[in-house]
Amino acid sequence: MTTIRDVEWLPPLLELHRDPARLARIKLQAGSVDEPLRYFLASDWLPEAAAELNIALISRTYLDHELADLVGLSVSQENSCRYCFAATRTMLLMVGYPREHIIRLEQNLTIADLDERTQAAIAFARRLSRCDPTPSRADVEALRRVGIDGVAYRELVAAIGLWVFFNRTSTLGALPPEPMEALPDRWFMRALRPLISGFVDRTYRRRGKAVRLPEEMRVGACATAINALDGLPIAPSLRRAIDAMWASPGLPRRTRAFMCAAIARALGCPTSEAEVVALLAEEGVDKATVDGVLAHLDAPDLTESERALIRFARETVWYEPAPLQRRAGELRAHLTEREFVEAIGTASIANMMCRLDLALAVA
Amino acid sequence: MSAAVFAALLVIAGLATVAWRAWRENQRLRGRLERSTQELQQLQQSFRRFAPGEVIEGLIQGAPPAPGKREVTVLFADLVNFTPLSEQLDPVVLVRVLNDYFDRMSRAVGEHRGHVSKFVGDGLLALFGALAPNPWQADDAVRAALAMRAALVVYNEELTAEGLPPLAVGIGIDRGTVIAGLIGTADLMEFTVIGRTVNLASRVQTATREHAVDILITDSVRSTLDGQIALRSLPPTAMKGVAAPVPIWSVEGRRRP
Repeated sequence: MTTIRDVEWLPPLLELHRDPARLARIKLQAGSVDEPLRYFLASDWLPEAAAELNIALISRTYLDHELADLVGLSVSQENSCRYCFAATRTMLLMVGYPREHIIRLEQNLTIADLDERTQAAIAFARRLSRCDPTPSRADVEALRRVGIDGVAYRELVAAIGLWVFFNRTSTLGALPPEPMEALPDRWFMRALRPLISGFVDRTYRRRGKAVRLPEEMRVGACATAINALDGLPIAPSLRRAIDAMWASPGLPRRTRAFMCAAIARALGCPTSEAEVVALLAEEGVDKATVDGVLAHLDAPDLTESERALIRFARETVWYEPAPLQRRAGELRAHLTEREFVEAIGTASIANMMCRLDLALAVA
Repeated sequence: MSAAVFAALLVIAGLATVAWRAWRENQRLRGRLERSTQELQQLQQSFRRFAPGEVIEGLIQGAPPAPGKREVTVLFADLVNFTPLSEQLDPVVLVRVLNDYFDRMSRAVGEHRGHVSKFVGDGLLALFGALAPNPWQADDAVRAALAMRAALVVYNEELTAEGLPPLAVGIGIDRGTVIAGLIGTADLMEFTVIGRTVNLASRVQTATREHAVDILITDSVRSTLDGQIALRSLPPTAMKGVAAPVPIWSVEGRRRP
């Protein structure tokens, strides 16, 4: 019998690090620190960005928590991300949903006898999670008919994008899902659930506040998508995450840009592609090289690590964990740990931003 | 203890037993439901390797999507001189050799973002860009063909060590617009593609014998490749069902590993 727990998943490609001072700083800024962040401490921006984006993910302003959690479950299922699927399922159990209700929720992801609004949101989440994510006007119209439009639509899109980001970071690093999968069935979790459900509910399901983007945050990379999310808690978090990624010396800017260009081309996102091509021009990369990368994932004056990273980036749009993790493992052998974590962060951000661009452009 | 109290205790014990059994049965059924649900979800996910997601969802909901046009690259591979070989070998050995060959070729296709649409006798039809748009589909197909060539070299060493004759393959690749959809009857249906590109890939594969090469591509594939693939131009070749001779190129290898 095959279940999501049987999806092939390789051993971790990253090591857990200890840096109490940095984790304390992250906790002070973001409010909480989850265990997975420790896998990414080799990067100078990814743990901070992931912590802040996680807070943005769990802070809902317009969508109800149940719908948002279901979206998380379906996006993780679509991407076969065992780690995120187990985390969402565990969280649902811990906040006190009856087990049978959760089984129904999981069941309904397939047989679709949920209410129309939830069905439409899940169908859209699946559409946007795929490797051919461009939604149609009909997809957006289906959401509008059930009352998900305007700012609620943008919040839904943002939640899907964030789940895509977390699915990629967890899958590419092959974070071990087994402890999370086993957690709900541990005796102490069953025994303590009534006591801790309130704490989990307060910690992982927050009510966000409308936030206006300050003028200085309206410019920079990915401005089109970020400005379209103005008013949601995610907008400033995304601005900081993306600025931190581009400012980080962990990978050369042109290498990151090549990775983002390959992902934009693979996902069919002209907005992201045009933006990255402009950035490459600013970096002094000639047009022939950019054209070569976009047309063939190769060009004569690329470095060997750029060649490997561009091909890896292109693979990250797909959903099968094991082949992706094998490619990531091959790449890991040729990079420092820092470069490898930076590559994971860059690919995850690019996958998220292309999907946001595509969905926000249609609306 | 009075008889009435004893009787009441008996009734309570009986009810408790019934309730406990019902609860246990309920748990068992719930467990089965959960496993079936997860299995169904995973099945749906697994089928994405054979058909696009929207096709699978449409089938589940009883409304398969209408056929549509897609830009795909078609790779057709066929074993050279397989009929005489099949007459020499023991059927059990023959089937094992053929299955091992298909397994290795399918892996080479899958590793380059293609999927095997069908096996026809000793032939294999692989598609690139059929399940999801792929801007590098022709490049992927040529790299897959080179990986197939490399995998066959390794497999032939194993066959020779076993005292079995080596295999030779002819591969034809073409790119173009095809009609993709669910084709077949209510009992036997598959997601596949039809059109001139499929036929031409098959004809080009046949031409590998005439030119004594193993991988041939058409101009529509060549025009999208970069300089990293070494090609050799061959004389335009007449092909069945095509009015004018078809320009073709032999794929020699990759300039950079």
